[in-house]
Amino acid sequence: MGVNLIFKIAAVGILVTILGQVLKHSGREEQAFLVSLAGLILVLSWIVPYIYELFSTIRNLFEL
Amino acid sequence: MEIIKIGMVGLIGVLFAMQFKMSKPEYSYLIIFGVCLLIFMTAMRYMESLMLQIDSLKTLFSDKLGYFKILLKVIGITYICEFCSGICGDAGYKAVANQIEIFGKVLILIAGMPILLSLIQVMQQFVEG
Repeated sequence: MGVNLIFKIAAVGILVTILGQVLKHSGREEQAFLVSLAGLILVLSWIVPYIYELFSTIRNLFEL
Repeated sequence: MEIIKIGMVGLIGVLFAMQFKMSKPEYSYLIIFGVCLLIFMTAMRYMESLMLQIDSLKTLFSDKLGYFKILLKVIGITYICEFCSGICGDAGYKAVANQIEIFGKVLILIAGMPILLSLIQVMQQFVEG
């Protein structure tokens, strides 16, 4: 939790960018796309539980 | 003291997001999303402690507890509405942000309608009384 969530997302972003460039220049466009897709899904899987927790705190805090 | 931490978190997030602005914009939005989530969750934690003090106010509203609940509901709706429309607007999709805003306003109107009706009834009693 906390700031390392941001660092994790940034790390995945940097990794995906580098891998994408390498794959792109070696002529494998599809793999580059798949790598960025995988990175995106990985980061989303980290963020979604926090979203759920946030919205459930709001719900039972304000009795929505 | 906490405001300094929150400011730092925001700045770090923005600095990281700027790296990906050109090459991978979706990651910059994800980072901004993460930062907004963190800050909003800490705000909610402080709001929880605020809520405990507000509960002591409930004794004043003892007869009209329903209005107090509506007030809390409206605050909750505005918080979530503001959060989501801010994220969508930030990502460049203003239309979606506006739709969320409009939907939030409609919900608040619906939630606040009973108060309006009871106000009108009170006024009628004055007029007839």
